[in-house]
Amino acid sequence: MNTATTTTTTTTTTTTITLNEGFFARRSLFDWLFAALVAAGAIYVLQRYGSAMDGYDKGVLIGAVPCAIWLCWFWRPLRVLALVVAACSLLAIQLYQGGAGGDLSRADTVFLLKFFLSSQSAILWMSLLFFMSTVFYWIGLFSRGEGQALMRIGSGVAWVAIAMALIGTMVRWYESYQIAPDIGHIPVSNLYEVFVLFCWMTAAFYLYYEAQYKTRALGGFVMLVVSAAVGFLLWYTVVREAHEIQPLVPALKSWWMKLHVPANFIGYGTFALSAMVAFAYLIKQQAGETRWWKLTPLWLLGVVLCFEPIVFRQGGADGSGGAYWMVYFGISALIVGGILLGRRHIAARLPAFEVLDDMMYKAIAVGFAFFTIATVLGALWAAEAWGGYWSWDPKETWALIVWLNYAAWLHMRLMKGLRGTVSAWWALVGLAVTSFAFLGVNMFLSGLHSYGTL
Amino acid sequence: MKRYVAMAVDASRPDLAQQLAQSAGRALALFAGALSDKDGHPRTGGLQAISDFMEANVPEAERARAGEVLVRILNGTLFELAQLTRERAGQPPLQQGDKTQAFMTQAVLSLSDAQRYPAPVAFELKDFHQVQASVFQVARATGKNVVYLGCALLILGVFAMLYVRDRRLWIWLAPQGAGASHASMALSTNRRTLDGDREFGELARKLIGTEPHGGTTT
Repeated sequence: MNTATTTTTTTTTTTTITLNEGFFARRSLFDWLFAALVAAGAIYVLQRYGSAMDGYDKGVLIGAVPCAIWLCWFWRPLRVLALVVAACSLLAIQLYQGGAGGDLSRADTVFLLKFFLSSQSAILWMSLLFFMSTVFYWIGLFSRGEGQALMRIGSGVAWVAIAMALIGTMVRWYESYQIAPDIGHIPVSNLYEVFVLFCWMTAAFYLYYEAQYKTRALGGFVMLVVSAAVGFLLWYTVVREAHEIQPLVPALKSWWMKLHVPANFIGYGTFALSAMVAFAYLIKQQAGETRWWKLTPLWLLGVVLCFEPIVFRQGGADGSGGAYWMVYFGISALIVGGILLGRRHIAARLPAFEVLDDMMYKAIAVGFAFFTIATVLGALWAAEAWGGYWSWDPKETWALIVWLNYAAWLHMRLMKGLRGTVSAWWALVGLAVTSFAFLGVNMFLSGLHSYGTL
Repeated sequence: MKRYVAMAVDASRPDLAQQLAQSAGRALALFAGALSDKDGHPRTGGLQAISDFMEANVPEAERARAGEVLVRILNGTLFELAQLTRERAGQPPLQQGDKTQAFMTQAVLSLSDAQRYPAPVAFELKDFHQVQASVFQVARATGKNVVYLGCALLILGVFAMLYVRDRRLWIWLAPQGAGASHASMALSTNRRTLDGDREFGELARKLIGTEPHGGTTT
């Protein structure tokens, strides 16, 4: 219960106080301009391509307009992001137009496409920028004078990386239709594509909380998990040629996929985010700890999470890319060790415990809500595709475990007021469970969900 | 064997023909497993026997070439054997060609593997009917709409649980001397987050014009 007291002299005048401005009263000119642009775009599309769309397509398009406007009004930097991504994607599509419609071979000849806008280049840029952003955040965290400026650069770079990821996704979507009309699909269908989704989703959620809580000190932590995902993505690209656009397996040809997969990845992204915040929490808490055996569990868990893909990879050291993984392992062990060594310094820069705790809760709350949606959508899709809502497929079972885990976490917090160390450890372990559900199931357990094998 | 030798070698070179006949005889004997080894145990035949023989008797450098020659001789004699059998059975001889070649390759391999087959009987496919089949599954969920409703309520409930905060605000005015009063303000909420604190701060500033103080308790 919050309290405040004051002593005033009574007067008889009546004044009206506005407690909160109305939703529309807070809109700026740019807000309205943006809304008008989105609506105009949708109307143009309907008018020009309406004849090729069926009822569902039109419904989704019309429904997307208010959603996009609301989302971008809710968090204003998204307006710029949306406009930039739309402009660059349209530019890329424009550049792909050869003599007779789209021509994929132009990706090798047109300068802008070759180096920036074709989906491959854009995603490589994204990878590079995420690494850079991580580095800036960490230097910022450790440097004495220019820390804030460096971290501001870090978040700027992260924004550009998100934009590149989205442009890459959009252009890839277009490219897939240029290979052949029946190959075309939304790029959320295999492990490569969902890793891109995971990277930008996690970074975007982080940037939202960064603005919300006005602290950049957590950037390094969250970008670490994003960088780990990017490292995995690069390995996957180089060794497995995963970036090639493949036709969809028949089972995935469904519009449910467009909803089910992104909803799931909002969940995975925010769970990863909350786990890294929990990691920061524990670092801050153990800042004064000097006995090494007290720090070991944290170090071990940190290493495991930083390089989760290999832990779950059978025969990680053999065959292709063994050396790559050893280097990867070495780097992650060093990073986590370094964080633990610099814990005192980092702890001084981290925001207060309450803020970390609150951020953890907010992230898990969003993730849990969307994970629920994803699971429900998955069940409905399963009913349509496999003839039953729930068939205890390994992926489904593990999704249930993840869901129950976070449900219990939220329950303990909301009902019993669980906070602090226990909830931080729990959130960190939650990431191990989540990443097993995400990656481990694909590798170890076969089942109906075996689309993204390693 | 004689047929093969007669086909393969010019009739004017009897010494060569004899040599070839000897090699062919050796190859066939090895392949059939007819030779016993040094200790008198019967050997297993097949291609493996030829390979073993090569390893034991031919120096390594020549092994590949010699092996090739021996296998070619073996194939040739077996082919002639097949032709002979067909002739006796009153069937037309096999035509030289890719198909025959493939058949012979498979036949030699199966003869070779037959030596290792552990059972004294082998089953042979005599007839084959292909039956096209499809499996259809029919599912009918009568309570579909109820499930949809339940799902919608579940999602609604989760969002309500997380994002609907009920808050209660108290303002207590106590008279304090002439014309003055003392206002206390308090807020309770079922979701204690930093948002609640911030909101209370704003309300306190706007309503009673003071900064919040005093602790927050659950």
